[in-house]
Amino acid sequence: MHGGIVQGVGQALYENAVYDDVSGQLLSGSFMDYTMPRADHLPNMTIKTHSTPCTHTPMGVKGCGEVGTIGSPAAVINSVVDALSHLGVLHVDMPATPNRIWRVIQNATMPRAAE
Amino acid sequence: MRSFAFHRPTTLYEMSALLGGVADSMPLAGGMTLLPTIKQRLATPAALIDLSKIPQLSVISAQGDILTVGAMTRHVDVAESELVRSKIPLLAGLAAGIGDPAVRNRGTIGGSVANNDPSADYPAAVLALDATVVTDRREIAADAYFRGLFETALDPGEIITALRFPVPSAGAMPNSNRRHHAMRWSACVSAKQAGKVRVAVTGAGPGVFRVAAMEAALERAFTPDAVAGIKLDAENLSSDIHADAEYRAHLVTVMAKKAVMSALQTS
Repeated sequence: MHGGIVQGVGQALYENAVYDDVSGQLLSGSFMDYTMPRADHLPNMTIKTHSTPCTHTPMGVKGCGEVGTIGSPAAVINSVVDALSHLGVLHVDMPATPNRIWRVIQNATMPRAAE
Repeated sequence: MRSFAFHRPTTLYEMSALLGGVADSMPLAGGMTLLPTIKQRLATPAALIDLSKIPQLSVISAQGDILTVGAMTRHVDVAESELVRSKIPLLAGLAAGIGDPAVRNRGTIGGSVANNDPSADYPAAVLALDATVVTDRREIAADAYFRGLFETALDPGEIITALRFPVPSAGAMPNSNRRHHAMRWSACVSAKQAGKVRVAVTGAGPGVFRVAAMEAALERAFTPDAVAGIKLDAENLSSDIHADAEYRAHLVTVMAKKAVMSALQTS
């Protein structure tokens, strides 16, 4: 469960497959440049179960290891967009790297809230 | 990886004889850059001269207001040295933040300064602290030593033996966020010595550099606000898949403010 969630968070915040426009060469070809999420990137997690037995398998079992991978990118990106909503931001591309978030803030159309 | 001969001298005299006498040889410090380079076959030396068993190259000592760190001192040893911590805490903190434990257990200060990677941390400290690069042939002031992307004033075969740091009255290198990448995008060391302030930036351009406008402003008033309005021209900065030049220019100002703030707290 943790692994699935972290995989999704990685897609949302860190993992960036960048190709050179001209040569097609993968530029983020090693872990020096392609950021895998690491243990210290994430807080501890609490997993709570909500059982819905499968109706057509023995014992009602179903695979769920990657279930967190589906929800976590949307949850993370939605929270980034929400955090920037006062600037009129409606969309942030994945992965939401610091540089991208800074760009989005620089290009925001709405004036910042009075401080 | 091609095969190569391996020599491990135990004296400086033996080292010089090997470096001068063995054809197509390269000195090996911690190997944190050289070994991957050889593995990728970007370098194919016929022989490596390992400097790790020459005892006087990894001595840390202090005399008055000068801290001397042997070139083969590993990052972990600088980070844990009581002498470094008491004389120049920013240097110990910097060493503790390099790479990961495996890198800190192998990488050396001399190797980092000799390689002059544009995102390396030590060059910024050497430049900001106005250190002297001591080699087996001469002494080179930091301002004359760094020459841009992986370029230094070292002659072929010239070996750094130690770095000599004057102890500053205040100084700091704040931690920057390194989560996205093994390298720094921008980091800043500010150091104050006898009323003079030096600000050195690494990770932002093709090599470590000083920021004269920030130094002048900080000599008038050593406060974070003094540098808050000083922006670098993005034209001269690096742009890559991790950070574009405009973002790096922004980060330099942010990191400079943090460096001054942290220097004021620790002095």
